Amino acid sequence: MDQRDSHIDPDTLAAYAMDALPAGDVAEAGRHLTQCADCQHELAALRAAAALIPYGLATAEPPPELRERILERARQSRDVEIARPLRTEMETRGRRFSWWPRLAPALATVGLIIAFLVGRGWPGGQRPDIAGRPDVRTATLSGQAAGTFVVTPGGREARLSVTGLPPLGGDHVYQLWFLGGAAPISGGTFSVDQDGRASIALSGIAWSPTYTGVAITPEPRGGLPAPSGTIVAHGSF
Amino acid sequence: MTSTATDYRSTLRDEELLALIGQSDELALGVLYDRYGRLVFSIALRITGDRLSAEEITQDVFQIVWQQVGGFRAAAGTIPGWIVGITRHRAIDETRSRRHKARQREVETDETALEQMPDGNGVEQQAVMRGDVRNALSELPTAQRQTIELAYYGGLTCTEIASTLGTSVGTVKTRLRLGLVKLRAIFLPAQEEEER
Repeated sequence: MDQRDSHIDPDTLAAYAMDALPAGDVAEAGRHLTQCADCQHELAALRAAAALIPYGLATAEPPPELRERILERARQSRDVEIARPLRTEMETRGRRFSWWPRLAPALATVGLIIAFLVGRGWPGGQRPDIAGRPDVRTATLSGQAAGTFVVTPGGREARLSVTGLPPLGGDHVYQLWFLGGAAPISGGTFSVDQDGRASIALSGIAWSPTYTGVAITPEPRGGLPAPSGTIVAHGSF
Repeated sequence: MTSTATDYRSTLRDEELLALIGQSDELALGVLYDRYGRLVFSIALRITGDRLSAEEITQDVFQIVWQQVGGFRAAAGTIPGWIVGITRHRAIDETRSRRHKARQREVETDETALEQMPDGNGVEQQAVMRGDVRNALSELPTAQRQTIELAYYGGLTCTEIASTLGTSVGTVKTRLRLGLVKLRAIFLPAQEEEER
């Protein structure tokens, strides 16, 4: 499909909106959609129409006690530390480096420590690395990029280290997704440096031990609630 | 379903409820359940055909909303669309799992893209929408409606639907489009009115 001059065939776009395209066709359509505002607009309208379908159902009445069960479960989980996806733009290695000049006087006083950190090099040099801990879960990324996503039990700490991702234009960022739940859950957005690298320490992520893997897609700046771009890297735990 | 009519939260818009849920206000979750619990349960029941599974899925859906409210972005869709999308995919997953057909979803399929729908704040608005949608669906030719249901509730691809119905993939795609165009006409007049 010519990404610039043609559009997705209307019947195919309707099937895409209904999640009814085979995987191979989805990938092709997805590539076009990332570049075509007209098709994105049409897709949004078709999806809005598709989302009306369940309103045609005869209403079924859930058991009265279900409401309380749901609220009780929420109350219980409120007391457990639940990670939430608070970070919308994750810290990149390049961004951290941009602070270094301002910290130069302080760095000078701890030169030995800095020398040690720099000496370790990317990707683990900026912060204490959790990768060596015995209880972490690790997903090795493959695809267009390579790297790892490492997370401690409960998701309190995590680190994404990735290389080989082409830098995106100003309107787009990469978005990390947690897979294995009912829907991919955003882990936040990030950018890479000019060499295509990012090494990111995450906290407060929307982590669940039921997740089976992670994926990275390019998305519009600010990220989306669900992936729309083609997956450029993924890995399983 | 328990009424929370005396609670001020019941007068809030969905977006405001979500903000409270983000602050771990379970009463706001209760109001959201009052608005969409039946819809969620109905979808789950339609897809799984089993009340116990539908209850479990309904619980899961609202737990996901509770825990992952930060994952919703208004710019990319509406709250009922988000909830319906979670429900549908969770229920289809459950069905596939139960049938021992839990083929791992290809991450490339973008199956979980956010669904959008007109805002549905309020039970009354949902009732109106139900009437319109039922009318529109009832006017569809049987083959069109069947095709849409196999895709939406069955989670089948065009290829699978074509095989099931003994027709071509192209015909399946066309039926899906024609059905969506018919449904789209329901809210297009309202959108045009808003744009004036």
